[in-house]
Amino acid sequence: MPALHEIQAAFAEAVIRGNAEVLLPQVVNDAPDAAGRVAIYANHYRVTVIEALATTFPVTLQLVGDAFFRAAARRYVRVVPPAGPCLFEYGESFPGFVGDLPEAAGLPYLHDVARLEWTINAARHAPDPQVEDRLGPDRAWLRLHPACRLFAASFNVDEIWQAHQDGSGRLDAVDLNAGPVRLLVGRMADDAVGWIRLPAAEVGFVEALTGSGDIAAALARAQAADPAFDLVPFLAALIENGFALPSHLDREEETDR
Amino acid sequence: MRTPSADRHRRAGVGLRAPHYAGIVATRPRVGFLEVHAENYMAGGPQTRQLERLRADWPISLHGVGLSLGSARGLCPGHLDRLADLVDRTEPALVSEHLSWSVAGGAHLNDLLPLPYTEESLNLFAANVGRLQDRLRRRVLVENPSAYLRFVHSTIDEVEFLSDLVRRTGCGLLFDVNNAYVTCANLGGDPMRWIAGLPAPAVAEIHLAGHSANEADGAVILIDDHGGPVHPDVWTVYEHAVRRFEDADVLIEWDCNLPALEVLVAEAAEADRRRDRALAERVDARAA
Repeated sequence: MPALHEIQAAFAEAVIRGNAEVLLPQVVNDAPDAAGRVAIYANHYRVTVIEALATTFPVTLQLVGDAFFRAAARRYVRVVPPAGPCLFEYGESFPGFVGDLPEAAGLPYLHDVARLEWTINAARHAPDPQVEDRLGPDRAWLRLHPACRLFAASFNVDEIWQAHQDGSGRLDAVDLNAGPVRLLVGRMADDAVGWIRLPAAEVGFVEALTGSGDIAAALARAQAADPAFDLVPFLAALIENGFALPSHLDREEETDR
Repeated sequence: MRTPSADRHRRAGVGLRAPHYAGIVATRPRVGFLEVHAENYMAGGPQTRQLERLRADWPISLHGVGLSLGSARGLCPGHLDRLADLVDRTEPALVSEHLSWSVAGGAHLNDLLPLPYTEESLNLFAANVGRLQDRLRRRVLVENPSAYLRFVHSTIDEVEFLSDLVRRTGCGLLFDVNNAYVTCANLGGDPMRWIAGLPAPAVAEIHLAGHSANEADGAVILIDDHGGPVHPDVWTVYEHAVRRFEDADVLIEWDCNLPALEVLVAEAAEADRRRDRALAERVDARAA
């Protein structure tokens, strides 16, 4: 009699890679036969996990079409099964996988679009700020919302993504040679994911801020990149979008109570 | 006139799926409780916040689908921690999981996979349920799965397996009427055996859902897809179940081909109506 871990290893092999050779002798074989019964589980796995990828990468799907997307996803779920039970966390390596497919060579921006979709997904599901996120040293100090992510791409994928939001996928109005973009992606006040484009100095500011929360250090970094960097409008944009947590303001509010 | 059920029972609840969230908040349907898949609310972001808002108005049931209590390699400590956090945040009325497994070799197969029913499985499953209940410091309900295959070396039947599990761990049971019906259709057996054989005081919740019929290898196989109304035969089994498990909360699950919220709520009302009738008939029979 096989041990449970052997049964489960054989079952996983049958479900993920469709190789039921080791499992079948362990399954009661009556109509429908054991292979037909195992296939129900294998099919459920494929459908569920491919659907999760389609939910996370809807613009990627539009760019390549349904048949291509599902064929690519089918290959991916054989090679990279989910590592955890929360499907919104599945697919981190899918952008690289789909972008590297030889059949996708005609869409050089595909990898970057899929990466943007993964970043959007991560921002959508990121945790809300905790009290600790708002506590800092007693100086000019600012922390980004935990949903914020810096994103850089060789193509203007923000515009490509936007052109697919009406479902038409028409790219005629987008200049595909407009060059690289850097974005700060985050969750806005209504919980929708959005972003702002960042020039080089602003990227330096955000990078410096991310570790330390220290506005003075971040400002020095930004001004090294661009002496004309203007702090106030950028801070206003961060706060207006809900990307920044102005900790000292909150603390004053709490003291007032 | 008050029915026996209305005196004693929480109304039937519904499984909450994301597309119904806005409608539930706006129309505040009269359902007894809301059940969610725990794994959809573990991120700590907007979804978790929505759940925290709902718990002000309805009892919440956390229904786990990813803990893999039957994995030979044991529970994932990280996932157990996330579930414990969610339980702390939402203070649910009920917490449940499945008599199944999902994880092997580090891969999560995102399904409720069947166990061979052996002494080895029972020892392992009981140890994992014990660990889960210790971590959550509360009783957890274990649900009978829907099955499409049996293992040649299973030596214990499912009813016996679940009954032993209750004896060993003190866990509760979630009796899924549709799952028992689907399993019996696919593997042989009679769902009435589950009703007669499960320890009644342990059954704290009953699930109802739709299924579909497929053909495989020239034979009909029922698929537990939660994609339609409850089948008439399943309603009949349910009416027997509520007579024996009379204190159990009842829940309608509907996951694919999601209907309008009103349809889901009407299905829950139908579950209440049938329970009231079944219990009234039993009272009448006693009086006669």
